[in-house]
Amino acid sequence: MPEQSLVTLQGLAKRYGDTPILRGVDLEVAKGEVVVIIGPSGSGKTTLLRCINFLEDFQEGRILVDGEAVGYREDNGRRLKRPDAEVARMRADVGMVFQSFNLFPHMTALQNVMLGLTQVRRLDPTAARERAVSWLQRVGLGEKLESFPSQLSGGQQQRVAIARAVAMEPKVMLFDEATSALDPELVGEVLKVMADLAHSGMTMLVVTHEMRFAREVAHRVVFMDQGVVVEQGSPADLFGNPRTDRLRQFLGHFAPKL
Amino acid sequence: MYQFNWRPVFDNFGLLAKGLALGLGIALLALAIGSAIGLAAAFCRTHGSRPLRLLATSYVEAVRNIPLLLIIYFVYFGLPLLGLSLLDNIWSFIAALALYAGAYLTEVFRAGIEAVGKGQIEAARAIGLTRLQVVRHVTLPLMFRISLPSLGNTFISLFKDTSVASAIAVPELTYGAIRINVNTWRVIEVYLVVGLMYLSACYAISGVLRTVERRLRIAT
Amino acid sequence: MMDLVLASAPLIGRGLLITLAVSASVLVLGTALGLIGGLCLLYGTRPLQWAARIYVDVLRGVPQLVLIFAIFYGFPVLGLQMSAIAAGILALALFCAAHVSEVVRGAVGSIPRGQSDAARAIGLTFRQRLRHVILPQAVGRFLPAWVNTAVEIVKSSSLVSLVSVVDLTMATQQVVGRTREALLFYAVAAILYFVVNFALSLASRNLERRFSHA
Repeated sequence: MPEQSLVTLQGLAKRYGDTPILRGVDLEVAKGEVVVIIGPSGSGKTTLLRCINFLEDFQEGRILVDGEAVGYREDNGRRLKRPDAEVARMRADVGMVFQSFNLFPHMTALQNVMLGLTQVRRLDPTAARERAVSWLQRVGLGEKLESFPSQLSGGQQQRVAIARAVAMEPKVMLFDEATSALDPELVGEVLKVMADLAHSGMTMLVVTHEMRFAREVAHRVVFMDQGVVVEQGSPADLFGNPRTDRLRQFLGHFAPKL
Repeated sequence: MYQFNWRPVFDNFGLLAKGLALGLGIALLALAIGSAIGLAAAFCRTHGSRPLRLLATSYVEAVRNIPLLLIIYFVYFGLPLLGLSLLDNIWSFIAALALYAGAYLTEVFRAGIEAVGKGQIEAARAIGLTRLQVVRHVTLPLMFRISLPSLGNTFISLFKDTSVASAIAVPELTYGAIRINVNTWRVIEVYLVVGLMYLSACYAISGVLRTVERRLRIAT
Repeated sequence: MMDLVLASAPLIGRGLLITLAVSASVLVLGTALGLIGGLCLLYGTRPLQWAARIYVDVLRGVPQLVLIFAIFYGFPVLGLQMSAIAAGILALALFCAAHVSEVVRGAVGSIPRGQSDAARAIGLTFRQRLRHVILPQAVGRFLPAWVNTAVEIVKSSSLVSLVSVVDLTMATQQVVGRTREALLFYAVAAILYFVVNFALSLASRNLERRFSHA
């Protein structure tokens, strides 16, 4: 089993000062799997995601992406932080989409997508442009290549952000509440892009409140609360047969939507 | 190796201490007078008729773009030449600094006035307060609270500006340093001590201001 | 009256040139040092950050005039000969550097954290992030504040007249002393300072438009 896992979390624990955020999380994501993480705010879902591409450090545990340790190296039992260059290399293989899009405002949509391709993947400008254009077309923004983020709607900006991450051809994609900051009528277009990506075989870890998306697209749903994984299973199992009270309580808030 | 000799500084420390006190006093006075000017000009800019707005804006833009030293020279040397003068050097400097401060404070108060939420003003009018009453009971108190940090910073700035008064022989801290140097030429020691005195005074004032701000915020 | 102005024009003109020269020198030196200082404050090792912090706090707590006097009178005592104009420029440049360091820190600090997150997430190294994402955005925020500093420096340059440098302020004093035409020549000086600073503000607004990505 561990050999097939693309992403492995073992005993992951993180404190922020004195406050524990993650209290020992074990998780495995297989290649091509779509895992949706749900849970109340403060459960540590976002922090979990940010640890995987080492935007947050962690005090205990291990994270492996495709067999390689994230963030730290073990040296005779001592934990050493890996140098910036190594971490950067790892991040190139892990794509992330943020709640607040975080597009670079001084660059057009096309330039946003091309930056990683030219500077990190070291593609020549022509090849980079081709790939960037193709991905922007795939997310439905072929007409908006030269637009600046300020000229795009929230949904369009998020789709550019997805293109920017996916164009890097990462091994796994992380989605951190990708639709939470969008007006309701714009959520659909972004979820559609995410669903298409899932169906094309991308390994995805998605933190979201969109329960219908979880039901329809996820292979596995993980419920987190207070820094630990409480329950996990197929969408049918988790939504149809919640085993713990905490999950039942949480789902109670969403009853009409399911 | 330079031989330090601190005696002349400490023998004359009284002179320096008095200079420091005078500087603080001048800055406070200039702040007070400047605030009166600034408040008037701020209201001209926000609530005044067109000619008043123009007058206030010209004042602010003119004073903010010319050096304090020029204003000091104009008040102290220039006014007497025009036949207007009863001011000695200390009061000339206070007048000049107040004029200078007024321009900056106009902007501070203007920002404060504009920061008072429209909602609060509308609520006040809705319960029947006249425009004047609104200004007195709502705009002014809120504006002062909002402007307090900037007022504090302006005071510290003005205190540092009092060093320029030494140009017209006002016996504040910098002038004290010049006098000791002229007599003893222990330049390094004097300026180290004087620099430290300015620094400590500014730090102390900042500390007091921060405490006052914190207290007031809790009261809000 | 016109011939009075014309007669004094060379003196005032020279004074203006000195003021401009001093201001420009201070700004060039001070900005260069300030950029380094700002980077130390932002990205330096602990001791560097600490040193930069102390430098900025000390230089902003001491009046500029005291700095000018300390260098002008102090350096010769330590054996370093220095002309008045050089002492003035050095003192003001040190002061300017402290201000510019804070401006740099503020400009970069005001960039939302999400920008460096996103830059990290696509695998950019520190240097790449700085070059492609942070600095381009910092420039637009840096310029208006820098121009404010520049205007302050032009005004502060008048302090060098107190170590006998014949800048615009000193020249004006000399002319007023000679001709007793206070209103006229103080007004001329005020207008000249105003024009210089106004030109700076206009240039800034222009540059701001060029660099803003609204």
